[in-house]
Amino acid sequence: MILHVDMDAFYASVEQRDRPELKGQPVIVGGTPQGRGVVSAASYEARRYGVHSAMPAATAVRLCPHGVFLRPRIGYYAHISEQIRAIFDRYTPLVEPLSLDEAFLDVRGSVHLFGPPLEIARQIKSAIREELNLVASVGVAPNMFLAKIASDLEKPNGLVVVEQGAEQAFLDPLPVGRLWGVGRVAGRAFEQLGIHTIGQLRRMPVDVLVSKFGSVGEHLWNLAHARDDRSVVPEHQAKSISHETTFEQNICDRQVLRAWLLDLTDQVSRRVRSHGLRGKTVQLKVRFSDFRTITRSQSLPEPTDVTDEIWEAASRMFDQRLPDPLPAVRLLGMGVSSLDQSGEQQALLFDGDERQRQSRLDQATDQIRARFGAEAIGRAAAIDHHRKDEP
Amino acid sequence: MKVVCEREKLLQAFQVAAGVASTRTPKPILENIKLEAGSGVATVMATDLEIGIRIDVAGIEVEAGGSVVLPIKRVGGILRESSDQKLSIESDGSKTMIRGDRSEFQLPTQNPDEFPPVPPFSEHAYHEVPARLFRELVRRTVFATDTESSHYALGGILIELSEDRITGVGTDGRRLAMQDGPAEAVNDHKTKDSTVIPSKAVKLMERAVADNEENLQLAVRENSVVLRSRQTTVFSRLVEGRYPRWRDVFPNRSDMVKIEMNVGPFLTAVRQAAIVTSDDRRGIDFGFGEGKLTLVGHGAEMGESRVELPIGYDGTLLTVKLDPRYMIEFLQALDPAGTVTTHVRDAQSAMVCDTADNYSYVIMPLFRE
Repeated sequence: MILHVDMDAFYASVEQRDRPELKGQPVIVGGTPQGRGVVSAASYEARRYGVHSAMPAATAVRLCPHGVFLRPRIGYYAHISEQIRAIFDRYTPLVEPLSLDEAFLDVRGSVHLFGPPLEIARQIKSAIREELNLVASVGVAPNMFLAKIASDLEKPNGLVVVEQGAEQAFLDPLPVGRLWGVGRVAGRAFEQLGIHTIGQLRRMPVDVLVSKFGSVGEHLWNLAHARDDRSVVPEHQAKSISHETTFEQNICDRQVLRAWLLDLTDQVSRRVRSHGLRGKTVQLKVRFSDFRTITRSQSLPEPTDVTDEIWEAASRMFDQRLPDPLPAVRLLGMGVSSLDQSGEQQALLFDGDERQRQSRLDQATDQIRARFGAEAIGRAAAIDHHRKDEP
Repeated sequence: MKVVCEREKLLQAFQVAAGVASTRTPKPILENIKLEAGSGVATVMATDLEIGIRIDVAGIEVEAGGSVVLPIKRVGGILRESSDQKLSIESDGSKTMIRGDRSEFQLPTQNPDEFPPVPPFSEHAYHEVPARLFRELVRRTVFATDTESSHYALGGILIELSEDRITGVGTDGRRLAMQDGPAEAVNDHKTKDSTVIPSKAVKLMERAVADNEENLQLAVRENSVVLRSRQTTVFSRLVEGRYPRWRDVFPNRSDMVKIEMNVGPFLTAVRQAAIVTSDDRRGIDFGFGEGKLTLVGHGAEMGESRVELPIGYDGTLLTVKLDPRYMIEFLQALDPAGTVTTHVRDAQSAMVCDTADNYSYVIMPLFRE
């Protein structure tokens, strides 16, 4: 069985935990009370007003005028994320993190040591609560896709199990919007086809979906049949390290997207370094509001773990190899592949010093983030999507 | 226009020129080769606007002067497939006729005046460069260039011309090849800052030189360069951007260990050792000492290699880890019967190889953190 562990309103919960006076308050991380920037996370109190992540802060201010707007401390959240990760590692080596606040765990090999999957899920939830004073929702299911849906179903503080054989009964009544990758826009398109539940989608002929949504249509159809043959790949064996984010509302502003990309690049680069790897290929993935998905990739002259070099390739692809004008974007992702763990590095004739300087900068940044979580150490351009008004 | 040409000779020139012409271009006229016939001379021209070439074609009888543009694919096909010794080419401005003994082709034609000018060599200041040296310089440096580089203008050969020397440099930032030799300035011609000829253009220039030629004329202008050989003139835009301070990469060789190597056996040994390397584990340890060079390769899952070669150095063991591809490419540019002097210091330092004819090569090592 697979566990999907998803932290509840992670950034906002961390802030509320560290500042008890914020408990019970609508906390909005990212954006400013003046309504600039974009929301990165919202506490459940704020969500009651309809505030959610990736929403323009102006909208959030309108919906929730007395909300507490905070600057995100990504470095600090990453540090907490590592503590959560340490808890996972007690139960299984097969942990695949999706982002700072969610991960898949394959616990099939752990049942003899720790009991049935449901018991392991309970233990992980209580360890996170007791040791870190944070709340996680967990989905337990025969595959990754179902586990992800299950964890989301009874948030916050959910624990949902989908037993083997009960997959279809579990999925069929759910609204089609629960499917991975179906947002509001596609949801509307489904409604036009008279599809409201996953069960209805499952009974559609697959060719109709393909003609309407391309290969994504077939993918969704398979998901509706609870088919998902991916397996949990721990990062140190991974062929690539990547990270992507789906926006609840499509983003058109190139500048905001670029800032998100820098954030993603920063996180991916750090993960590459933490595993002692170097990557030679950088990929970019963009899904538009009409579900068209494009990927771009670029090879680097030398394998690298330097954030700056990875960013240079990622940003060049973003600037030069995407359609112009850019249609509305619903998903942005980036990754590094052709991973090299030999530790062999080619010395350079001209930029050796610059490279070493960048490498030391990354090391220092990683250490500072691990110890202090200081947001001052972030990259200036990445704050664009949080607070565009800063000088 | 009407000419009668020797098919083989025109085909040869046509093929060289076709290498320059664009295949995918918003200007369809560039998918043609222009043939210009004057009094007793005929010239074929092609350009992609970055590079241009003019080749004088021998063996053409001009019955009526003029010019015509010939579509590369069709005319190339006719020249290749025909078995006639001579072909006549005639154009009346609206169509072009190509005739052999028993064959006749009629092709639509475009206005030759729309073809961008490919001017002849008319420079007043230039360098006289020995043809043999120029070809060697290109062959010995162009393999080290890097057309992908974004930081520096490494996508071509850097040319430096002084009063009596020509220096060519190619590098990709990991190794650097430099060839130097005598060349004579005419009318105070010299290069100012970085003159980088694109790899594609410089290879074309190298091919455009006939085997038995003595001197070439090379002139550098503001943003372009032009080379004249006996029958061919090639011009090219220069690579834009900054060239790194290449002289600084040569270490002081006086305190390095010098080891004389025979090119052929050295190349064979490196090739053997490289068999087990992979993209993940590129490095080969070059261990010089105790009378032999020991090459050791470790592939990730491909096993190990160990190859020995006797050398004339029996001091303490010095080991450098290198990417064997860089050594192989260098040794391939040399006469296998010749010798090369390698200069080694330690595992962290660049290795330098040079030959008696002013050719030097620097390779940076691989290292582990």
